[in-house]
Amino acid sequence: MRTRVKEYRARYDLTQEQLAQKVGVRRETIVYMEAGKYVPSLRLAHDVAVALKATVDELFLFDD
Amino acid sequence: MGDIKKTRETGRLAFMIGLAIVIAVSFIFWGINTLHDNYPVGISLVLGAVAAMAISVWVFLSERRKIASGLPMQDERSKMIFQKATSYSFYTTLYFVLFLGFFIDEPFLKERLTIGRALEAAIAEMVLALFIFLGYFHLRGAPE
Repeated sequence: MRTRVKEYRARYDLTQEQLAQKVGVRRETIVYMEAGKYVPSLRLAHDVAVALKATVDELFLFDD
Repeated sequence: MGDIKKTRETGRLAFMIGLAIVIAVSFIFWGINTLHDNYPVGISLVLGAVAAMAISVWVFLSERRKIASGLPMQDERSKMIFQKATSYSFYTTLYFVLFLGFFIDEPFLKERLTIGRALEAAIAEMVLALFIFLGYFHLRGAPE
């Protein structure tokens, strides 16, 4: 899985900690999610998308 | 509302750290009792327990700072990691106990393995396996 969370986060000048606070998770979860090592639940993916004013499929890219 | 949540999370954290310290103190006493029979094992247990207590205090201080800044103590990833680590440590302990069962009261062993000792070893293995799996999954990012 690849993500564009880091790119969108930079667009809104948010730190990992600020994004974590917005979506109610630990900072490490954002770190691993950005690195593509953690596949978030649908709920968390939705919350991140809302926080970054994007859609889920814009943020999370799956290689078929 | 947020303050109530933070207070609850800090309380839960304090309880978990307290529990870890109680377990560590038990290991210290166990280690001291073992010192007379087997010095290396006894001293390892005491040193391990002291190290665990120091880590617990450090975790408490760093987690308290995170909770104060509005981050949760647990989230979906950490819950998943804990569930996976506990189930893995349980299954490895089952196999470990099965393995030890072959050696209980066997006369060819230099030091006889009693059921009590096997139980002690199994409990120690379960705790150790839990910490190893927790560390492994945390470093790997996700339990998948």
